[in-house]
Amino acid sequence: VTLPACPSPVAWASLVDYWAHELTPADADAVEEHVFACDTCTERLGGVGALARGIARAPRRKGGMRLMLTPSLVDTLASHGVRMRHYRLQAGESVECAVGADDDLVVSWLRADFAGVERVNATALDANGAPMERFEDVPIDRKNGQVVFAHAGDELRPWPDLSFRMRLVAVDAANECERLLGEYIFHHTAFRAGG
Amino acid sequence: VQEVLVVLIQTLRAGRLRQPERVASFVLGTSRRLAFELGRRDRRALVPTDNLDHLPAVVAEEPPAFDDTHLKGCLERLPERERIVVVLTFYAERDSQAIGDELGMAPGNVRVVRHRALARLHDCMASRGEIAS
Repeated sequence: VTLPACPSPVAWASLVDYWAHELTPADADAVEEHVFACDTCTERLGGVGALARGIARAPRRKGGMRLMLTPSLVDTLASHGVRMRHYRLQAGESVECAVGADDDLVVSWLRADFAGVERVNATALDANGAPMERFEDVPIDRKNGQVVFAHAGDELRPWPDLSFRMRLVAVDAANECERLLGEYIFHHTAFRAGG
Repeated sequence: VQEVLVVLIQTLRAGRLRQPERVASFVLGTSRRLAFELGRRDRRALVPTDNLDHLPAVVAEEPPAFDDTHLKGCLERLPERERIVVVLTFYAERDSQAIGDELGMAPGNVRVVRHRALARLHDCMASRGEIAS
């Protein structure tokens, strides 16, 4: 079914703000009145809602998903029954780590001095120093001086025994100049079912 | 839909809807409020029971509109900042002020990041045929 084009569609930003409850009551009323009379924008708003509901389901999926976290988000996940294993490291430290059969997420709390730092990039390096994974502009928990990574349990359980380093670097706004903030070494023991 | 209709019928019966021409806004506003309240609860919790004592206890969840595996893939392709903003918004139900406080961003910037992230997710899901383009 092809819906008739809307001559004055509600802006995408307004649809998203509406679904996020971030419009003023007057603006929300205006969106509602338009949507009620417009099949096209009803469909578009339905699409925003479907994505929002999907996002709300995603972190609670069994087996987890790769995600940067904040302390409040860790609390929310825990309150929803997401099972997490935690490792907390200072810059320069190493840790023996593993993933259990029931772990949805393995959470790494990496502490560093972020004073004066605008943006942080992170790279996971294998034992030979080759990049495994790169994360750009990671969220910083400035209050506690840390960044918080979560890997999905389902992603980690197939891993063999291996060691890798996480390297955090401060970058300028142009992403050109880098300064090392810290390295964190993980010695991962492979998951063995029933072991 | 069921919850909203019950609230609408109760309101009409009580004579509290004084502007019938605004019934559309009323229905949508009530839907939004109830959806927000439901979202704050466990997804399996019941809707406000003071309005529904006389109805069957179970309200079915709306089935997912698409394959969540594809959405997970699209989410994992978002830049880190965009992913955390949409997860904090729609999963943890934080507003842009709270998200900005936690991530060191201005609330207006949080909203811009959210708009961009939803647009990317929409395009990603559309490219996989999971949502209308």
